[in-house]
Amino acid sequence: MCADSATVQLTAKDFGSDQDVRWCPGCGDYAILSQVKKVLSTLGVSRENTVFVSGIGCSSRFPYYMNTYGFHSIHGRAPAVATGVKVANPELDVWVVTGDGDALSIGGNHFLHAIRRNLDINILLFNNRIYGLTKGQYSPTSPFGKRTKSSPVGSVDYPLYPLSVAIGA
Amino acid sequence: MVVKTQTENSGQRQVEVVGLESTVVRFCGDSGDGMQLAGTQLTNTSAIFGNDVSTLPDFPAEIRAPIGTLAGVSGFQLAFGSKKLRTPGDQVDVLIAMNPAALKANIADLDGDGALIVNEDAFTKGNLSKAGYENNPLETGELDKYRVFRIPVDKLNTEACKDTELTGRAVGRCKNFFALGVVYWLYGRPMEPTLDWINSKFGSKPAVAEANTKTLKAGYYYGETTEIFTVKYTIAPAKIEAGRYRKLTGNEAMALGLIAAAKIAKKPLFYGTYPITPASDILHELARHKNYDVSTFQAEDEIAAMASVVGAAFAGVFAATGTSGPGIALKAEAIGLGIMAELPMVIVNVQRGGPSTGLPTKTEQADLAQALWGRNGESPMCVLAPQSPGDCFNIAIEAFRIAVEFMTPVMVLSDGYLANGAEPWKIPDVASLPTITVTHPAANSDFQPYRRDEKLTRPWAIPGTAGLQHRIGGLEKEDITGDVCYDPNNHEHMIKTRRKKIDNIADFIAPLEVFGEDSGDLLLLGWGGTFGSITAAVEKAQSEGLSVSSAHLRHLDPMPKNTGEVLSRFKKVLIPELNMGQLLPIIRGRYLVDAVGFNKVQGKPFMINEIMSKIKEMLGK
Repeated sequence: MCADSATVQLTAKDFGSDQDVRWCPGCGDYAILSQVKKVLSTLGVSRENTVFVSGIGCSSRFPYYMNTYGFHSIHGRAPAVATGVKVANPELDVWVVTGDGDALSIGGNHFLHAIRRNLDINILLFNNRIYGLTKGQYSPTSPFGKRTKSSPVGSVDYPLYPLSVAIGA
Repeated sequence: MVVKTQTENSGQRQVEVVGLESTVVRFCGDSGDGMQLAGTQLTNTSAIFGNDVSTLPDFPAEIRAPIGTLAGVSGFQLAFGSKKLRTPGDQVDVLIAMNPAALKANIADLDGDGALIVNEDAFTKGNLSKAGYENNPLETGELDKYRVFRIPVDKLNTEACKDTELTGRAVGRCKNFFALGVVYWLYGRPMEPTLDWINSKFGSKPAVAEANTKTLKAGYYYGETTEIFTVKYTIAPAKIEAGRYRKLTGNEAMALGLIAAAKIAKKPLFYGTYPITPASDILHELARHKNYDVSTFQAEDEIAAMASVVGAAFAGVFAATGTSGPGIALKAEAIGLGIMAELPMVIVNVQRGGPSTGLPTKTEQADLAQALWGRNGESPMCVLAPQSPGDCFNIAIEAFRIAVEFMTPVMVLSDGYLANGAEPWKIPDVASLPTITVTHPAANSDFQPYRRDEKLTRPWAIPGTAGLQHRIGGLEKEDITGDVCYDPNNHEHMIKTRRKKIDNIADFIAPLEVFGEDSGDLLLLGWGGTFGSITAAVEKAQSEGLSVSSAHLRHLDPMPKNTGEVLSRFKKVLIPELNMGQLLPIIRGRYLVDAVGFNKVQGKPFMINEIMSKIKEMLGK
């Protein structure tokens, strides 16, 4: 089962898949991808026992770029999919990759309950405070007054704070 | 049907004993009166006695509607007999009404020769008015055509419980067992099964156990010693196939079937769900069986439940969910993900009256179209339907067999009637159950996520397997590699392949069987929970010499390969459904037969006579 970690010391590069990374040039997501690969290589974990589950949005392309098991699921539901994976096989290292829209808007309920259940999964929330994939509408973390395509006179909603939500759960 | 008549000594007197082939009893009262419990006890006792039984619980969606009102009436009907019973019966032979509202809501179903037992203490001015009676129907003569037995149940129950520690309302809650005791005497049922149940259920509450015991016996002895009844009935055990039987509801059978399927395949079972009427009992049953390697997950909502099932299937276990129509609506997107990811899972829809919240506790078959087409895009899925409570066990195994062999979600369309209805179920020999073989690609093997076998099934490679790391998801995939792919021709190829894969299932299912002659004037084609009513009606028509047969679809997508051929052998085709006609246009369109629909959407099952009348109308008789 743990062939990887038992036999070889993996490098950051070993955690990369053969897929072209398709985020916009200059996007901060590149830095997160590179850092996650680097960190995993220092943890002594194996590729085959690692599962990345994502929802929908720019951030959620993440699993395609990892040479682990991956599931690019549907909008907002990654924490629930990850719950199923983890309950089915608690030996797996399960990661959720999500964004501010995915986790805090459409998937707010699942985000709260995944944290409440405390299943020993990791959630990476890429908070860029905007809807990137759908090209620029305000998100639940956009600041009050943020002008976007869907809020030409400024957002009328106050942002919520992901860590406060997490602690509150 | 009367089998024989004799007399016996009852207490100090002689009563006539009439032997019957079968009978239909209905308990009805307030939703807090314990009618479901009384009905269940009579069911269990009759099953243990060896009768065939068929039940129809009918209760309001409100937990406690205002006491004494029509909205709060709860009923439990059961048929038991010495012959095979296909339905809980059209007409009631003995109606037990605990208050005026229950009488008003149920009297129309009492047979003209039927017996009515009423709790006369409940016929107070207030209760009569709540039920909408201006005058007491016990006094007006309107019930004269029935044999009416007025029993002061409240007073007698209170008297029976007076030496126990129970007081006030707790005493009132025992009165269902007084009524049950009367019925036990009337049908010569043994009290022991219920006495045993009382002792195990209320072992920690001796006062409650004592009161229920006393009032049950008081009811029984009341029947025996008072001269109110001059007749009692006997019903001989049914001549059924030898074996060990237990009483099983459809929901219990479904739960046991899911467990059995996982056990056969040597897999853990994961059940992710959100509570909803009438499906929750599947969760309750499964939650009791963790010892069989069952994990139940009560999710935060319907969507999360479905998503967790997709995740669990990806991780390599037998994953299932259960819900009702509104839940399926919420789950649709995640079911589509299961179809796109081509993972095995079972989705049980215990249908109820719709649309929207509809009639949560009533039965309907109006989710067939939703099951077949209720998702975005071309998203074909295998759809099955059990035909009796016990068949829910078989269909759950069949669903997992297909799910795993074809790597596809499978939807099972149960309904409220099957889910809550009970019948004696022969405990199967484990060796006789179908086999389900699961294979996962080995570590570091030559693997492509969407490389298919001859049935078009893709491999089920699970996390934890070295060297087979792969990524899947809801985006369209390239054939073979599974990489994200936007190529137009690849998309069309994948759409057609997913459909063809479901069609291929037809090569691995049982053919459609005909009940009766292979050809003739009329074929009744049904699906799901209407099996009992349709078969009973067809049996009756056949016994009257009519050229009528029936066939019942357990597989709705794909349908058995001989379906069109069966239809073609009959001059006319009638499709009875508890909806506005959802199978009908499929059959007409696909097989070009001039089938006619027979539809009912009252939240209630078909009565045998309703179908019988339609058969005669179709045949011009």
